[in-house]
Amino acid sequence: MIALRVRQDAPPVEPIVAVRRSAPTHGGPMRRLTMEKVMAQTLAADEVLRGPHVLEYPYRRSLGPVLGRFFGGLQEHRLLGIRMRSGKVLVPPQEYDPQTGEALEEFVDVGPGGEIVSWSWVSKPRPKQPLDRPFAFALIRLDGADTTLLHAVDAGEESKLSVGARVTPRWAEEPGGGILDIACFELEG
Amino acid sequence: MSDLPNALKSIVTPVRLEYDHSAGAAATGFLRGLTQKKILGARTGPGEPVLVPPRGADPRTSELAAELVEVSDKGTVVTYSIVRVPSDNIPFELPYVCATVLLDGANLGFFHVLQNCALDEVRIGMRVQAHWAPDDQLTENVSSIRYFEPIDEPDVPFEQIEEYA
Amino acid sequence: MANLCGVVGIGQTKYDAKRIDVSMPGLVREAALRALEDADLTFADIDAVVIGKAPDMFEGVMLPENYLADAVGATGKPLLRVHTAGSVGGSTANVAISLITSGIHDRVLTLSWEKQSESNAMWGLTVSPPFSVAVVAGAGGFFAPLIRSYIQRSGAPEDTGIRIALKDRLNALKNPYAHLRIEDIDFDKIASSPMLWDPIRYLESCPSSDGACAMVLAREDLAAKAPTPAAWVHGTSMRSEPTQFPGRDSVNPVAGQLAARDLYRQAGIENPRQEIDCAEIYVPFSWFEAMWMENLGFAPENEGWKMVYEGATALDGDFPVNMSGGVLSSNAIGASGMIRYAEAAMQVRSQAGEHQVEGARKALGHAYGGGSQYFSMCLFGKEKP
Repeated sequence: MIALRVRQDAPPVEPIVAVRRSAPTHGGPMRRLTMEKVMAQTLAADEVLRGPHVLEYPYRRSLGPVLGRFFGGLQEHRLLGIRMRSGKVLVPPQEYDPQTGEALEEFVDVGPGGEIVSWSWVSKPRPKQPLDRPFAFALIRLDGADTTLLHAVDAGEESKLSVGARVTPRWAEEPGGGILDIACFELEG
Repeated sequence: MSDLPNALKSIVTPVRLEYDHSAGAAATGFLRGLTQKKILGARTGPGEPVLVPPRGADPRTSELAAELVEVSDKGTVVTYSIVRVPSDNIPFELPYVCATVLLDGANLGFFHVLQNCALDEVRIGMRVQAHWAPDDQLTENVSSIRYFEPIDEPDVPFEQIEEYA
Repeated sequence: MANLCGVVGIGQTKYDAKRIDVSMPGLVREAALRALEDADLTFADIDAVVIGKAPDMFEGVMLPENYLADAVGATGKPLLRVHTAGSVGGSTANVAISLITSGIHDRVLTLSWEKQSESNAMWGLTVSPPFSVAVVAGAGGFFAPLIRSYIQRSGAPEDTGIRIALKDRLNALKNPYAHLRIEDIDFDKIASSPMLWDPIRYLESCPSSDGACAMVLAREDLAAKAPTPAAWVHGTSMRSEPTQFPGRDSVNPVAGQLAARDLYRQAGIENPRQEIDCAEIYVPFSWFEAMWMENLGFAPENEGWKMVYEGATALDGDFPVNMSGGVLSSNAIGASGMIRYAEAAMQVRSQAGEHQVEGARKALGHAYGGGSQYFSMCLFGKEKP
């Protein structure tokens, strides 16, 4: 299909079929690593080299006029929603009405308390998660809001959680800009 | 609402993804070869183009390239650039030469850096050879070839390598 | 082509290094609303949205098309994302056009964008997997050796790239949307700018830009009613090939040649240099104009640089190229291909203002991506095909 230009005068070379595994970290007997073996998927999993590949970047997100206010509000311990054309209140606020696509601009104070709509218990938190002890990721409907906000709830143990449980934000000691300016939510009372 | 909070312009949202990367079977053979100062390619059969590094299949036809072939660690510069742009990802001191080297016995150019060569002497057609890491530092990594460097052999006329340039 | 398709609306943002005044949704919305305004339509008139951008890693948002659905009026409509590396702005439009020509939809909004200020594309293009060594950083490091090959093969004078850059940078001064508008640009300023990846100088390279571009497409009878006459699609084409294979010509890739041939066949073009009036092509590093003139069949092999020397590709030449100032002047990567299409369509709609080519009736839009391995193109006409 594609016109090819292949060099015809490449020097002759002898194929080899065995590759010695001689590197200290991969000791052990010599193995035959022919491509036939490879393609027949008979290469044992431990024969294929593996290594960590980490992609990491500190993206800087331009917030625009709506999320800019929302995140600014968090630094003043205020929670803002925005009113849709239908009258419902979106939290977090969005720039455009998800139903009609219109630009939105009527901010509404919501919370700070709210109730759990659903949750998932995290018994073994991973390094970058908001808390270093077991916690719940919960969908929280803040008072005055018609949508839910996803955040961590520091409840100690799962048995204390229920649908409808009241929660309130615990503010970060040092606001850094971002959703973790709410350190997490905690059960009221 | 009249008393809106101050707006933030931007926030930093770090992303970190941790993959467990598999080199795959074809590259595994190539990388193990480097630990013995061998550069391995693959081809679909005798007389067929030699792919370096091996790709498992010939990219033109998807035909299995199952036959491993050792190629020379000497080759010819088919094109190059002198890099003067700093980047955190790059382990070489500026300025340096990057070059596509057609290894003897191979039918694909091999991209690496060229050192021990004055910047104004680098040219298409010049003969070069791999400079290997010391034996106790040979690993399953392309950096086992530290760089290529010029050797005392006559230049290859451009007509002979034009199809790779 | 079963049904005809016309471009009835075109919208662009101002391209800039940092559009921190808007969010990503706000950026794409700006282009979308301008395209709708040009077409005298609203989101309600649109049946489907096709959007494109370069790798997610450039902004770190996975599935950004979903996140942007409400900003581009896609709620309750088909929403499709296309991704073909740097050529994506072109291929996105091609996919959108196919939704019209196939008869599936009546009006389609297509848009593409990049917001490079949220990240660093040089980083995004230089993540090396384990067991390897990053030899060069960024696109320039990859493309510089190809340019060196071209110089060797063609015998082109070393200042060809400077002349191309000067021409594009002068054109950008006529384009209010262009990112780089260097008022005191001249040959010496480009020649004395720092060498980055020899033979590519700083002022022969594209910038990093934020920006979005959008087009509204319509089927024949609706396009005929557009307030500004439509740009009619005479053909679209895409081809790709692997980055490396034995015998690959990476300076003059076969995939690009095949795409051009297919495009001209569809459009009934026998002599592209004579029958096409101007071209807006993807040139991120100046020398690529000369290389693509050959790849696209406007010049014989190894003679593309002569068109630059003869002044043929200048705005007042007999075959103007990159009238907008090109990718050299605005490079919102994911949008760059669509910006080429938009400029070509604007030319045949006589909408290009100070960078209008007098009497342009047929204009080519072109994009490429990856390691010169993805190609997309479209031919626009003032008249129906």
